[in-house]
Amino acid sequence: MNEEIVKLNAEIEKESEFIDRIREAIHKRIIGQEVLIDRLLIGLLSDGHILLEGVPGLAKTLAVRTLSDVINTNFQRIQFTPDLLPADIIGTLVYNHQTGEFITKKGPIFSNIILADEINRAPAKVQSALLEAMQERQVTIGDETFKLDSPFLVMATQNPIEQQGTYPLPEAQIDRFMLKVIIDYPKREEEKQIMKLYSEKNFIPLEPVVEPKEILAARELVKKIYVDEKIDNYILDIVFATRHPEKYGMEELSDLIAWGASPRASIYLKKVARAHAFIKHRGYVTPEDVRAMLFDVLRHRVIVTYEAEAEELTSEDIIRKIVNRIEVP
Amino acid sequence: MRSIVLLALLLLSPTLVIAQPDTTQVTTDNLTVSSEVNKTALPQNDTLILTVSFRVSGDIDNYIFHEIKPPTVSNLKLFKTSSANRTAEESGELITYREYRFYYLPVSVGMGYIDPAILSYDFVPAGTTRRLATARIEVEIKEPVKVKKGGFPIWILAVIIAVVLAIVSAYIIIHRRRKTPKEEEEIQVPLEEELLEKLKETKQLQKEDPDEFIARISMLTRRYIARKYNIPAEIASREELVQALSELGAPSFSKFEWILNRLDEIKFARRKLQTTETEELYGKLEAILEENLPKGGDNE
Repeated sequence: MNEEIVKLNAEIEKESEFIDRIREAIHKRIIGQEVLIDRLLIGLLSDGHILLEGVPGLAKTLAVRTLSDVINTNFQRIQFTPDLLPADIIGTLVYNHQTGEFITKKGPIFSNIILADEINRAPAKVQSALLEAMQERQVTIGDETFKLDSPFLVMATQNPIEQQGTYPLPEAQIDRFMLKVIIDYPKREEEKQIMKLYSEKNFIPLEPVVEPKEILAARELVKKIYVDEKIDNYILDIVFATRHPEKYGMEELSDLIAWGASPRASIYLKKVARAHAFIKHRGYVTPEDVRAMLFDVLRHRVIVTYEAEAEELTSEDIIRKIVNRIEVP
Repeated sequence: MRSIVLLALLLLSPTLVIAQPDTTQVTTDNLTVSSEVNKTALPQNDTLILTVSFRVSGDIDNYIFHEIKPPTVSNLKLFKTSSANRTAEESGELITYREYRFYYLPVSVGMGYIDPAILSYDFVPAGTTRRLATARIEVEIKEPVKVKKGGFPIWILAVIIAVVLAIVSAYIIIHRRRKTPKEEEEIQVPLEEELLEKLKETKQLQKEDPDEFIARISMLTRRYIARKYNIPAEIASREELVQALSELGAPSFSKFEWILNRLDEIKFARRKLQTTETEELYGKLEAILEENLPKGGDNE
């Protein structure tokens, strides 16, 4: 191995040790849900936000709260409802009768980890307020602009059922989420353990195992992880195949894809592949890292046509077809 | 297969919305009046034909017919009419037929109604004027469907498709049968032997072009795994391959794992290649192929 990469590899092996501590601590409260936990860590390390889809009761809230507990950060949960206002999220100016001045009352967005529960239940203006804050990492209340704390991770949830009376996020807004993670029911054995654990205790207290500054330091290290040009080309081949499948010998997909993945997909895919390599204690990215993160980065960025919908094909089916045709370097 | 079924459904779709015809008739004074529509449900861009006919048995001179007026319709538009007369002898009796045809175009999606067709006639023996009215008819008007121009009959298309499929199937069967001996010959060359030959070709590249050497070793390893174990190795990552080989309990597993790990480090972590390493990679792959060579297959 190149000397620099050898050094980096050793450094990452040492510095990423806290990931195992976090995992171990989270598993005291959460059984299974490995994908969700990994994606939360990846979002945290690559400074991106996560859109989570899963039916109620899959420990989404508990997972985020637990993560917040073990990394010793603030946590806020915002339940999105049709009557929510932007000021309920970002804050507002309140008039003080005694002093005759307006004082700033900061909203729940001023926290490290935010759970935006059922984001599609609030109107577009509220969604926009949150998404703007996510993008800009700052909010303006009155004349004053406030920087948001770091680390700052928003995990928004969407319920795949009960779509009546919801405000589905437009594609442009969804694109701002680095990952769209779909979580499923636990396995039978896992659920047995969950039943056992929570029939004995209602709440399991946890001590922090990592400080936020360690996370911020790890972020800097993640940026240094080596990505070979072959990996860059592999990412580009996949992303471009979603836009021009016919150029990759997949003419049959041309009519099934309305819009391919945006350049954000390539950027994010590289970022999260690095973070994935980090949680695997590796100083360089392999195709495995790209493949592991592909679906979470692309599933909300590949828009299928009516023809695809008529054939009951989802964006995941299309991505799977593409990945199964693009040769690994 | 799925797309063939979809295609067939699409081709048949104009006929799918067309229901059975509807008939209503009334008889008196040896006179039968009937009105009939050719379909009770039709797409908006189709034509509805109402046929009002009457049948007289016996002496036609006993009747003086008044002209039938087009029935009152709703949500339909009359655009053409026609009429015809004929006589026939049935069981020694003279039968007279008269037929009026009214052609309608649907106006909008929904229900269309045709009020009773009324036939007025003078019955000469009794010296009276009488009226016969058929029942009201309703038709369902559906969304317009795409109709193939030229009205090419579907059954002809079905016959053509069947003939083409039969020819293609026959060609494939004959072609396969002819190829069988050749294929048998190919199968007789063991995969390991074939790849060993290709591996030997890379020997020269070890010093001349190490990058190309690595690319060839990677390709041969993955090709061998793909063909030997039916794993899509060309599109799989190292971890996926290692896991699949482990689950299959592949012989030489540790050698495979070593090669795949080393190739990943060389390809993606810029591992510097030593001459001994290229020798080692070559040697390990050669060993895998030789170990798995079918017994008796190495007799040259």
